[in-house]
Amino acid sequence: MSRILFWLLLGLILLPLGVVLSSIANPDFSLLQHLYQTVLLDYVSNSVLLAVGVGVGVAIIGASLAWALTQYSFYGSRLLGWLAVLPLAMPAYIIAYTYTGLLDYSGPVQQFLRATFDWQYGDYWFPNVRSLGGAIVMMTLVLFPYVYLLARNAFTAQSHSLREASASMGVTRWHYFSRIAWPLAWPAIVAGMALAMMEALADYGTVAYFGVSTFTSGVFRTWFGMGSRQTALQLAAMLTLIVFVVIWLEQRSRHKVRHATKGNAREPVRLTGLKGMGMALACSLPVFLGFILPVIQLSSWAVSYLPDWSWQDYAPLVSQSVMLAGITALATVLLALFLSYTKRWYTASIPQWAINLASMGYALPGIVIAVGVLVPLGFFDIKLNAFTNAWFGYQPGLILSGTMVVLVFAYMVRFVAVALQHTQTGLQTITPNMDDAARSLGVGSVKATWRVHLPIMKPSLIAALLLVFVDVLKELPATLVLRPFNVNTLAVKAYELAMDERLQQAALPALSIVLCGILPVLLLIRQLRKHEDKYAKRA
Amino acid sequence: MLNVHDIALSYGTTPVLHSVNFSLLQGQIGCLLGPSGSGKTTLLRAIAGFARVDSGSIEINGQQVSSPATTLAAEKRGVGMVFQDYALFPHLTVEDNVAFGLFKANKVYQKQRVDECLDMTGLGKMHKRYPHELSGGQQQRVAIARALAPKPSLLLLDEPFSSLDVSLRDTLANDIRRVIKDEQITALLVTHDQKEAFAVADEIGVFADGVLQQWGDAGSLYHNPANRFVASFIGEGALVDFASLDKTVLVRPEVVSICAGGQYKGKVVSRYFRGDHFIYALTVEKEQGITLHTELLSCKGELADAVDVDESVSFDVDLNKVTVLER
Amino acid sequence: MLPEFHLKFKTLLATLSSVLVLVTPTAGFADEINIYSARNEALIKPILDKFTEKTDIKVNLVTGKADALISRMQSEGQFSPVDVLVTTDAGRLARAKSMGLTQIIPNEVSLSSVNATLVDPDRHWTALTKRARPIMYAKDRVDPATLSTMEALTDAQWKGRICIRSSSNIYNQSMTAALIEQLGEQATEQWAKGLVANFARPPAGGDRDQIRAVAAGQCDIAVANTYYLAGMRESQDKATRDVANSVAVFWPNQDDRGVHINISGIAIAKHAKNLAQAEALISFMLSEEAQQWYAQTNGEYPVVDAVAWSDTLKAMGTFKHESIPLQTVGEKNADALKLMDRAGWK
Repeated sequence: MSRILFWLLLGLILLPLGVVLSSIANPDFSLLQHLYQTVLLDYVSNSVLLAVGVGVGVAIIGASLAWALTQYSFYGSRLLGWLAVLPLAMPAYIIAYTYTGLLDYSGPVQQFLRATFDWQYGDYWFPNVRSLGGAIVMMTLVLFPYVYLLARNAFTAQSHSLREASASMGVTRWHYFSRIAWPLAWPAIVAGMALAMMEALADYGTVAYFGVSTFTSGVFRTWFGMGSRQTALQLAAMLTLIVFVVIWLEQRSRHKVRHATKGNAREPVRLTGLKGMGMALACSLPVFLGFILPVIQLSSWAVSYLPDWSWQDYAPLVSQSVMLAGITALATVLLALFLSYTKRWYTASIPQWAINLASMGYALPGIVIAVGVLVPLGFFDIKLNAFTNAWFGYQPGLILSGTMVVLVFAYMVRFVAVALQHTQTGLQTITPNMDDAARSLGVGSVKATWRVHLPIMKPSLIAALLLVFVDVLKELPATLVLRPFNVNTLAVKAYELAMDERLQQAALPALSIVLCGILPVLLLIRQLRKHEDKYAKRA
Repeated sequence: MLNVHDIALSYGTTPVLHSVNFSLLQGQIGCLLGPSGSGKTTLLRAIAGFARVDSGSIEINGQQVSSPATTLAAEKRGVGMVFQDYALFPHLTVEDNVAFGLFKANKVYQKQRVDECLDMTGLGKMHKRYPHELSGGQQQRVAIARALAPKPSLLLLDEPFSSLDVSLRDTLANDIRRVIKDEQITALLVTHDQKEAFAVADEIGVFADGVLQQWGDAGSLYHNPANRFVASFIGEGALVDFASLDKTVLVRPEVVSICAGGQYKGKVVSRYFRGDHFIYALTVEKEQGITLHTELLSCKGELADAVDVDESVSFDVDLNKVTVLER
Repeated sequence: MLPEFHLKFKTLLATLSSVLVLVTPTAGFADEINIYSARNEALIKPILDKFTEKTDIKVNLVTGKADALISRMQSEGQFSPVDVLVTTDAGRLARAKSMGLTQIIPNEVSLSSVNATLVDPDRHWTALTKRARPIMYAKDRVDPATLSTMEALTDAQWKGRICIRSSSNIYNQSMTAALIEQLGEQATEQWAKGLVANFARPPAGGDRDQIRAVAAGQCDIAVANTYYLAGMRESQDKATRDVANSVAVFWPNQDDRGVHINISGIAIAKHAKNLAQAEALISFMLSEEAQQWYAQTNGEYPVVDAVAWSDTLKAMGTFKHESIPLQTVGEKNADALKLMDRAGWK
């Protein structure tokens, strides 16, 4: 029964993917050939470069930051340890707009340079924000917390005896990091990288604004511009293939390293003076660039354009965004819990790839999920209405595809991957032997849920809830397409204003997203803190 | 009080054990000994109630708890278990871990019993610690205290020594035996290390190739091995054919002695210091009426008569003291 | 654990779905109208608010990308709740019509005040506003005498001096489609290739960004829609006004076909339930009051000739514009995009 439900739910999650893949059955060869001759190569190379660039970037920044903040202590290191996750609240396209405004040719930075040094256009070189490189940097700045969080967990779990053993063999700190600490933490780092890469591949707002041709912008272009939804879906299918590769690589690299060592975390090394200051500066750079600076700029814009907003316009945006995000977070985590637990109980009959498939939705562009979800639900609604009309003379209308159900469904398809990462890792800490131990002590399965599973899973569950909440808050393309009448979110509003080049006006809803997102991130921080304080004591 | 009757077991779909029969009396400590993968842990889990039996039955205190048709749930058996990885609950303190199975009792009794068990296992001051703050040996003891707290009628231990330092093992072996005997409960442990088996258990079962090779106390196993496997598995020794005997015999080191003018000739390949004596490993010249089934023959020697490595020696074998093998 | 957990999960799921169903609006109250608009909210809401004030008809609005909206209409089929579709270009209206998603605007709604080329010959849609896409040049660096036609922009003298937005934008696609219709595919492809060769930078940003780039000196010529410039010239921010005033408008092709124009338009959905309200909306949008608002506040050209232009628009000058039937622009959109792909217009 649980198993049947498992496969049913998995099927529902994969429905949009199915719609996408089934489009392969009817290829429009002339259009495909045209794409191949012109832009397809660009799509592939840019998408791959983007994903790889973001993957490498978040791994380096996230892992280094986690390493520095767990191994060393200096003035402000505790604070920085928690602040580092703040960029999670910042949508990538918002930070893209902000930095474009700051760094573009006509922006204040370059203007200042030109005025000070009396340069003209062409006299000096300045990095072009609106490029593939710029997109990579933007996304790295807001996605590194994924790796940071997981790497931090992994590093604190590593026994200090490893470090001391290698020190006695004359291994330098750097060598220790690169040869031992990093490889041991590798599964966690790779998991974070995979999430960041999938998000990078699915992004639309940033690459569209920067004019970088990737698969997502190609999907939009082919669909809207050339009017061929089929071909657009086929491009989406190609994108999905790339994501399969990313996930497969992640799984493979995870297999090689089994266990993190048990043991006590070491006491951090105290850094003072110049070294301490330097480290503090270096560690504050990511959160400064990824959060503090954009927020300052957005705030100044928001303040100067505040008179343009009225409370009646603003309040419903906030309440609707929060409500949608809250309901979705709850439903998604429940779904992830159900999937993880069913896999745990029926390990034999449910293979690992089934769970991995459930994470597929994360890679599909929001707009593709939207269509993939709309078509079947719309079909169902029409059939339902026909049925009830024939039998009862009653037409309930589009109860699924015309209401928030379809939107929440689309969100769940997309974000169950995030929740699953956390429920899976959480469940892994509860060994089967612990279950058996409880039973041997007379505590049956139901009681064990409350006394053993729930307390141990609590940090993972809270993390999952908060992360999904923030992700839904930031979500854009699917919301644009699927929202019912008179439902508007902060993300949609900010996007419309920014695309209409009213960036300063977009600052208020953009900032609101960030502020609404900070609260869950802060709670997440508090959760991590409690979790780590418990485990930070020495024997 | 534990009766294992003609048990056959599978791990998943692979059969691992069959025709297993043994019993333990109340208060006895039994041990399942054998190489890794011989199905001992599966059997232990079946007794605990975590695995089904394919045929046969298991009885605890006269009540049938496992049979092909029915399996009494583990949480209802009153059988305590100590797991190889300790399986301590990371979110609970030591005292909460130990008290975990005492939820039916009132708080006063719980506190009292927890104190008792922690004292018993030498962890009197560790109540408020968390598992990750303890050393391996301490975690082991908490696991034992936790399993003992609800006063189970049978205590099962899965490879209790495998993750510990060698120096700790002897102490722990003694402590486990003392604690179990003090509590007057029956216990069954699984290990692949015969030293521990001998140190802790009253009755030992040797497992190999899916069957119980022999069940008995340490002395019987050592001096009267039922077959070749047990003979070569228990203690040290070599299987040898002598021209003057018609059966293969087990030659223990203590029945071989190096002496001048001995009957056989050989060469010392290595020498091991064992505290109060040496053990020599000898190669034996061919065509002497002595054929080894192995490469080397172990020989015990006094410290005073030390022989160097690579020396050629002559030695005698006391044929009256060799162990004759039926099969 | 299985049955217990299962039960808890099921009850939670049931609660959630009932909450959702409660929370969602059910169909049709009296005096409402449901609009799918590709024009974003900020640009259309003010006039819709005026409509509600005047007629007491409640407006339910969904904004989004035109194709996504059309796709949604298609999958919703006969149960689609939408009454009217508002778009920012002619091509999408033509597409919706060809997909059978629209119906004839009833004769009660007078379309006579609108120029015939801006109305669908079958009366399935009508324009609401007009916008042009001229050349904008830096006053201090470009002599308008050197400008003539769009084709001339491929000359070597303009190398590295042209800024224009991406080919993925509908305005460029329509412009190119119109050229294909009037010049033929080969000539248009030549033009596109030549234009791309003269780009000052790879296309990035929107129309306003192109104007700003010209003001900052990164390029000398931009091609953009008139209402963006009009909006910048009327901005409350002085810096923006300065930028807008540093460029001037040049109307290309005045000696032959005229400058490219496009429209924002409206159509009635095939399965509209609030037909009377839809008619009222269209009539209102074509009324002098609404057209004036568009002219004065949005910086767009009204489609009702009687309505005067705003001063800002007047200052840009009068112009001759293309006279092709606009639905052809929609029909040729896919070809235009492929052509731009081949020309390397990113």
